[in-house]
Amino acid sequence: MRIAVCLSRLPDPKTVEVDPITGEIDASRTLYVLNPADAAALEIALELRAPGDRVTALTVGSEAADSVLRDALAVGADDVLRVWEEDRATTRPLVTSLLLATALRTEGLPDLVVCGARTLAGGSGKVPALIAENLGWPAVTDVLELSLHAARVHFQRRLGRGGRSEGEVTLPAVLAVQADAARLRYATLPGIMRAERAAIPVRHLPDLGLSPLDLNFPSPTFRTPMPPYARPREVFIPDSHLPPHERAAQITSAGIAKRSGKVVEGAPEELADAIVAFLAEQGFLDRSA
Amino acid sequence: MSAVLAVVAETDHGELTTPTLECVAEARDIALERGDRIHALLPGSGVAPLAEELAAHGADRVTVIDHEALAQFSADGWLAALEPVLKEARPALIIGPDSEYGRTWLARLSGRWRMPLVTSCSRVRVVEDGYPEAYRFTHDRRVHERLVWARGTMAGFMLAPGVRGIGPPRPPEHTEIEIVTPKLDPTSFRDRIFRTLPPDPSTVDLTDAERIVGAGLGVGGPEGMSQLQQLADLLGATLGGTRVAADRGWLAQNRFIGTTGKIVSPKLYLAFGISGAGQHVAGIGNSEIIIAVNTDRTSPLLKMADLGVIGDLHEIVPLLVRKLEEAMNERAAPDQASTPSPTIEPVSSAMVPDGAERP
Repeated sequence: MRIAVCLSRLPDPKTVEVDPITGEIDASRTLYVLNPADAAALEIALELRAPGDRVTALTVGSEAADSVLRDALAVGADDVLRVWEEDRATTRPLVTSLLLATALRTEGLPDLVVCGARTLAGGSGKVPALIAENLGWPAVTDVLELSLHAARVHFQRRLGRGGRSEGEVTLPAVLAVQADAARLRYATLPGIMRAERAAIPVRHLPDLGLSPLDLNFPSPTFRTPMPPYARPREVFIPDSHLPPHERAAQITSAGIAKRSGKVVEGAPEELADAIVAFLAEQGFLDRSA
Repeated sequence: MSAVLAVVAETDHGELTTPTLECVAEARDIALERGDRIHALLPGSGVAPLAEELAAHGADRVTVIDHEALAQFSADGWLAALEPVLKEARPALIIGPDSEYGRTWLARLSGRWRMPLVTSCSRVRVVEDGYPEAYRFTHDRRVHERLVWARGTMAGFMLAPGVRGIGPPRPPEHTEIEIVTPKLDPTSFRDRIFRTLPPDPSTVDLTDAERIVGAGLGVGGPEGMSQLQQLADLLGATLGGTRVAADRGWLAQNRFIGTTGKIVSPKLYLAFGISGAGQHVAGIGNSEIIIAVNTDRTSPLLKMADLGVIGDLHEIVPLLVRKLEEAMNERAAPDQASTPSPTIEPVSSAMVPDGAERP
């Protein structure tokens, strides 16, 4: 089986300094790291590798991105490949995914592509699904656990509010794993030495049979950094019939409007009954029963 | 000429998700300004009753895409069901919640249609006469940027959950509701979800928890905490508390609620021995129902709560645990009796459907 891992080199969020007035990033202070979710993807690919299987690590980027490929070689990836087009210093998801998918196709299609679910930087998380669409494959994102069963992968994926779901996908497929799905193994010293000396193969557009016109996706006309302020939310508006001091009190209660609540008092027994009755009335006893 | 704004609805346990309603509200803002029409798409199985709710929040047209193969999410299924409907609707914009599932199927659709898709949007607008504009967060919400596309560009926008809130419903004069049953072959879906697992209350992040039992200084120590833990287990709630409780080591540091801790939005918040200092209250403002138990009748939280209880929590909690157990057993009993299972061993037969229901 052949497994491909897509890696990306990203600004370390701890070093991203945002100007509070203009919202621009101070690029001179930014350090770059391997995306943690991609590191998890690499570890999962290495764990899935059986004797005779090959793990290929790919990335899109300039020469600086070689570092993530050397990291991959150091921990045991079999092959690496960097894709780049010098003239277009762009890393938009549609372009990145087209370059990666075409590279996979020209190098011989793998059986499984593993990616990191969400990059820290842009955080769009679209690239895995877009690679899948380019290859005509299914995609599963936000994967926490996966296991191989012949031509299928069983997975557990994360949902909002702490929920999860379980399912399966037929191979070939693209799976995007979450950063906490696995912890990348440490590289051995011989591994690091070997990786430092290794030559990194690079593919440019002509090698992939693409022309710059193929990368012309609709792009925004304007792209302006903004101060990172949250948008005002629609919240409670005090009743305009109330006297001013009560309205002020309502606004300053941090969004908690004075509720039309009741207060009960009495023997502990009665109070416990009151709470149970209230919970029952509000329907909180039904679902967890 | 009015354009069509497509909103893709998401459901969870037979209810529309809050982010879905936020998307409808966002589309409604654009529609009211420009005279556009909102076309909501509601995929799922047996979800038709929810169409009324979409209409109440502002959809001019609701297309329910009902098929039993859509009972559980499958990106292949969603694409097969929704792509033809979206193609026919010819929307100017597609707006959907920024969810895990959306990032799979909507991203694939955007690749297929070579359509810009913006995730993590904080605001979506159409400026002048038809330039789509979006504000979005990047870098862990620390960077905000504004994007504007050429006039008439069809684009997809995924609205970050919770960015705008839902105002009062603004229904249109008339809503057209249609139910379509697409021809789907579930065996051709390459990705499938078997089942959805609910979050584990003991490990779920407080910000994600639906029910929270909060502990304050009044709890008095680890014994009080273990009583509250019993109560939380019974209710399927997560244990949280004030900074004071966390600083005294009764709670883990990532379990305290307030300005310097977590901001929570549970459906139920049970506060024990919490007076309601501003710093704590600022963290619980989004709770739907608050029950507060305190000995001090002047504590601010008692006045804010939906049910304020003046009494000693050390006396009340053990009683509450016992009474809740009784109440829940009572509720479970008639259910078991009514299940049509005429078997000889009532006990074991009652266990089976109960166990099977629980994922």
